Amino acid sequence: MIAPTLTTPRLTLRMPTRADFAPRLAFYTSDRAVWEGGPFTPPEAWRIFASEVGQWPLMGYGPFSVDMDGAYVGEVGIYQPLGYPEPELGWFVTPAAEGHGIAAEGARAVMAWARATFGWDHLVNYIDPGNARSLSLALRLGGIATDAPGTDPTDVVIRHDLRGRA
Amino acid sequence: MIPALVNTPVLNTPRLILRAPELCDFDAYAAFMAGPRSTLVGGPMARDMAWRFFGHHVGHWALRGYGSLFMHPRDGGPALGLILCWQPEGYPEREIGWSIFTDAAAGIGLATEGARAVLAHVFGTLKWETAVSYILPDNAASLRMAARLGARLDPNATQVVYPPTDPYGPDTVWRHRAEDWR
Repeated sequence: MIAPTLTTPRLTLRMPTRADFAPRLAFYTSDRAVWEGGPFTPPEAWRIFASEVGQWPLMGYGPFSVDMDGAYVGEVGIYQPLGYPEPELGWFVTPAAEGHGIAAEGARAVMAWARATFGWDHLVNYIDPGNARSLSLALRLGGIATDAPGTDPTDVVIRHDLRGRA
Repeated sequence: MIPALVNTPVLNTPRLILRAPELCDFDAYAAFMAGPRSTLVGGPMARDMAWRFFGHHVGHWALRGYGSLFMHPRDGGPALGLILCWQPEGYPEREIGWSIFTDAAAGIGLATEGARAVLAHVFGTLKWETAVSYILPDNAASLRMAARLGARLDPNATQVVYPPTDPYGPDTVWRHRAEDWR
């Protein structure tokens, strides 16, 4: 099982490949990864990346690599490593591609795909309260903070209603 | 539908079936990684970290098109161990390695039996030119096994560079030769 290819007006969402590891490595080993529990060592970064790609055959959902104009600009998808109470909607955009609404456009496509494919009525984000940029995007996408359990007691859990999104 | 990897090999030996990891293999793997037998592969570790390590094996198949094979008894039952057949990012070369999950399955030649099947597969079917095993110098059982498999110490091989925080290395590097397995 590998990711289907989804398209939006500007983006192509597709199965990740090895070449997509370089920008993920740069992220995970940098201070930008502080909201994800990092920074991480390169072997840890590879293990995180590969294990998330491995969700596709194990679970039927996972991360999509996002291309715009034929170039990699980030990753959007559904993440559920062990210990996550529910499948999580997540996003990452390369520093060079930030500020163009890429994560929002990709996230909307993933929510519609999840609704159409699995019939789920919601998806959550688990966001560190210090990660203002991600929180702001989650709320802009129409998400609402809830008291549901997170991956960590300090997580802000944002719930997105998928009904009507397919 | 339970998703799965597709087009992965299944190898048979007298006592074992070796195949790519599936979700149902996670419990046996997590139990191994939680116990003292996992000290040489990064353990012992909690179940959520074991999920990352397990997912790494699965994702490796998706990213590189080959990967580690889990060993099952021919007559069914939980995985007994795995034969590593991989190249995590940062490794200079492809590695063949082995882990046996329980004391009960250790010491009866299962790792050797599985590794022989995998070596025959990678050199005979996949036409690899070479592969190595990275073994810590105090891991006597694995050193003996590498020698038994016909591998030779390669003092000129490039070492894996581990982060200073990792409990690994420097390794001895054992080279497997294609001509031994074709």
